Amino acid sequence: MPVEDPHRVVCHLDELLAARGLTLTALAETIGVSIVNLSVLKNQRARAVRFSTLTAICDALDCRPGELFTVAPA
Amino acid sequence: MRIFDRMDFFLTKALLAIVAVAVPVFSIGLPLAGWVRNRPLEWQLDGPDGLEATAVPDRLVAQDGVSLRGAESVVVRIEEAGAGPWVSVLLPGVLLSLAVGLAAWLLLRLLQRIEQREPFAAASATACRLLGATILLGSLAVSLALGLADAVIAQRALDGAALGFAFEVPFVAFVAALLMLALAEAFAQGARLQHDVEGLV
Repeated sequence: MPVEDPHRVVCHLDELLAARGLTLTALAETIGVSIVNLSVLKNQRARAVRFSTLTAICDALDCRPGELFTVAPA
Repeated sequence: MRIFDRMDFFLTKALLAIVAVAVPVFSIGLPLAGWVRNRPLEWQLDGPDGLEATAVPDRLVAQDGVSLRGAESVVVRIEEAGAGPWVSVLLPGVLLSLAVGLAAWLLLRLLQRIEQREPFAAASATACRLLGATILLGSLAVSLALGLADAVIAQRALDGAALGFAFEVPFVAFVAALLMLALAEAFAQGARLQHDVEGLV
């Protein structure tokens, strides 16, 4: 089945940040990813995520990929 | 460090603008001024192979009001040329100017996109394709017009010259056009890759 837009992946970065009392700026500085890119991710505008970015976010927020992303029902 | 910095872009654009202006000035303006001022028409007959083989001035007979000089090619000087020969020698310049103007405009647009660090867009691929087509069709049209001008001038200038229409195939332009079309494909693939990584975090 060909992969086509739109997707149904939902990013929960804002909730994870709020739960840990962190800001996007602080996370960006910690993991070395630009705040613009993290903002794209937080605002559900990302279409793909590098494994390296995912690893860095999970390390920084002490979470698993499944907590960061879920797939909305069709 | 950028290999091609802002000054390089500026100089390239300036050079393109100069070429786009200079070509019509020299290829249209000068002959047109000569026609308007009723000066003699001078034209070098060296295009057709048939003429080159027999282009020894002492074997050619000039019509009244026409002088010939040259060795391997012949420079024709017609005192009262009339509209037909003047139009025929203007036509290659007009076609060349149109092709150069269009090519310069397309190159300027492409350079602007590269300068703005957005080279891989569908518009860049289209510009390259149009540039290739302009080089191909423009060189063919200019070559045909030069052959036509040679034939018209020879008919007007040489007494009893049975000069057939001939033109040179612009192989170098064909190669340049093919390279531009290949570059267009590279830009198109780059645009697809750019689309793929949009939204990549």
